[in-house]
Amino acid sequence: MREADANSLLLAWDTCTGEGVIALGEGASAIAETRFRTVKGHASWLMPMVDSTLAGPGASPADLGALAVGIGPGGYTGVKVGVATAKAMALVLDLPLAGVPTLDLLAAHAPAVDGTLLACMDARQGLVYAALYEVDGGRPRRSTEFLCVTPEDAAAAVARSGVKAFAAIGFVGEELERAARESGLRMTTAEPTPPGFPSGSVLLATARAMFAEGLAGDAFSVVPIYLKKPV
Amino acid sequence: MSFDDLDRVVVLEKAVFSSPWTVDLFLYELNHDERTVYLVAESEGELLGYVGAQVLDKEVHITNMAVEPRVRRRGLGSELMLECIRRGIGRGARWVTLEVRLGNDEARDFYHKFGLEELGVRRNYYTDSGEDAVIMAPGTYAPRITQVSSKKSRAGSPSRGTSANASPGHRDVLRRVRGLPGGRRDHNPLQCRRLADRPAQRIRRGVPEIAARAHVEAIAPVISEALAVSDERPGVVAVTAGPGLVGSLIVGVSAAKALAWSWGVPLVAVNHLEAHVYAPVLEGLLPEHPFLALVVSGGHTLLAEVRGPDDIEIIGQTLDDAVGEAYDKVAKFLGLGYPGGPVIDSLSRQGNPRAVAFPRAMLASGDYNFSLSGLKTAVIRYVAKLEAEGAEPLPARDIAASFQAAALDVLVKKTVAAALDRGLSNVVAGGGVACNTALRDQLARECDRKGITLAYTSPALCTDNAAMVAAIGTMKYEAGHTSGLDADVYPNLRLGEPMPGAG
Repeated sequence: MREADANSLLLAWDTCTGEGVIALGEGASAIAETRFRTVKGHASWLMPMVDSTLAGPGASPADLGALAVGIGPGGYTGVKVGVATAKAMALVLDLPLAGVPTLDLLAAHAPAVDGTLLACMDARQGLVYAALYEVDGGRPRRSTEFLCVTPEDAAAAVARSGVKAFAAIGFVGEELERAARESGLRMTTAEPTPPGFPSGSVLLATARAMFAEGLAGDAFSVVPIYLKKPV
Repeated sequence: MSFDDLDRVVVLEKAVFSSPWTVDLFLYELNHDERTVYLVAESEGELLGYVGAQVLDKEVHITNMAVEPRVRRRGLGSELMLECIRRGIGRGARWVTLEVRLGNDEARDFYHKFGLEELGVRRNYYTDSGEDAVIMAPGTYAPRITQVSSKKSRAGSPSRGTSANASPGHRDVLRRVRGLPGGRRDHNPLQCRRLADRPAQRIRRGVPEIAARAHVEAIAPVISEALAVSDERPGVVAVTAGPGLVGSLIVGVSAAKALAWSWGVPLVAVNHLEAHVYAPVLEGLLPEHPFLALVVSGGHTLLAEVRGPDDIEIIGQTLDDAVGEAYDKVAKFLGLGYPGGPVIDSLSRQGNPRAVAFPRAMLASGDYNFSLSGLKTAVIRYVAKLEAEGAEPLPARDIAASFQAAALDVLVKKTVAAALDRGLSNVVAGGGVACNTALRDQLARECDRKGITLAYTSPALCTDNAAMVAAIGTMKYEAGHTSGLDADVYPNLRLGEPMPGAG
């Protein structure tokens, strides 16, 4: 398996949320991007969309140097479709594969934040997927495990970290705001930058960073993050 | 039992057993398994005995039991056993099973008192001596509980909650991804067979979502091993697109699309039931068209006239349960475990199929349809009636054999009738239940008597496998049918239904 370097042609996608994104990156630039809705029944569109994404710049499977995929948490179907496709492709094309946690990807959409950032996604049933980050110079570093908790417990996690103020990005609702207040925390809401999470260029940049830091894997090692057991 | 007791339990365990459980094993059971029940018996501060079990759905499976040698034959073992059973029943269990060393007559006699009988043997079960284990289970289905004195036993179970759902078991879900490595070698369907034998994952009693997650994890090793068989890259990728569990199907189809795209080869989405029908081609057993197909599995029971791969007509099917499902439910009821088919098949050989005249549903309905749920109910009612009357219970092997006779009688008769009525001189039997030896024997006998030729594959190709997917995929490809990268999954696809979107 080849090593991915900064110049490898990198193909990445994330289908863990309702908005699917596919991006092709060369060096530091995104040379193609496709967005599509991944609601029920549209999971079957991932592969044709990947095909057309490469067709634009005239790239072929053999040109690819690296792959990256959003591994969740998120919708059960979207996570599986994205990861299964990526693992199979990485296997037969013998490519390195970066598994990008969706919460890490979300946190990377708040480059203007300085300090503690709470990334939240809707986990339904009154719960959120969440993780805490320290953002320094636009780069988020995760400081907790990935959690599946109530908004109150998410605020409590922030309080436990000792800070008095934090930014929150993603699924930020009344419960979180109230819980933050009651814990004596000052909360600001960060809007995803660029707008429209997930962004193809942020996905590519996050994947590149993983490759550079030796955090990528391969077809065998990358597995989804679910955080919830089925009932 | 609390964790404080553990040290003393281990001391007793070591004194009594030649292959004692270690502290770690006990701890693991207690910490990791909500289904575990452990009870200790003590008197004046001294631990005299204990029993450990797992409550698995309707079954209490005794895993360990020991009584201090100097206080044996005083009823302590019985008390522990009864208390354990009572707790199991409190959690919804209805019968008890366990394994005991073949040579341990004392233990076997003890367990006979609880209405347990020798049901079968597990070879080389005991790792220290390679000794066989005798499986003991209720000869009747209902263990009789009398009185339990709580004076001597003190209990504190660390477990909570009940066990996992029973739902589509491993057979139903295994196969969706195994439809995947149907990478086909040109003109050599036999080679496909070797690809397929890597089971994706065995998941007992899994919830569909758990099964689908397991498929994602298994994708890379399964494909990798299938490809390792040959240096040749497949020229076509075939995958099951339905029917089946949507989560599992979607994993297989997603991976298959990635392979087809990466290699630049065609993709063929395949109907799992058609794969069963055409499996005999892998062993050179496929008859000329038209032929009659009997497809019987955990999820399907149907008869079809097969005039060509694109011309299949269902002429009869079950109106309720599939045959395999009926076997599973009856086996579960009788405390025989899962899957039900193999154990009922084997147990029935020692049983009397005429012991009970269970109904042959729809035998004279004048069509080729089936109904199995009434038979399952009849079995349950029969056993309950015996118990209510206080009559002598019937051995499980006779109930199993009688159930099987009723189920297969209708299957065989209607299959032969359909073949004769439609002038079809060839019958193909496929699907997991076609592994059943009694079905194979009876169908072969009846077909032979009527001058009908019967074909069925070896068992490995009757149960779900990927080689048959490759085989039907090859045929479809050669007939010009391929699928686009936008192929979808069809959990309710019927046999003979055209694959939507296929060119």
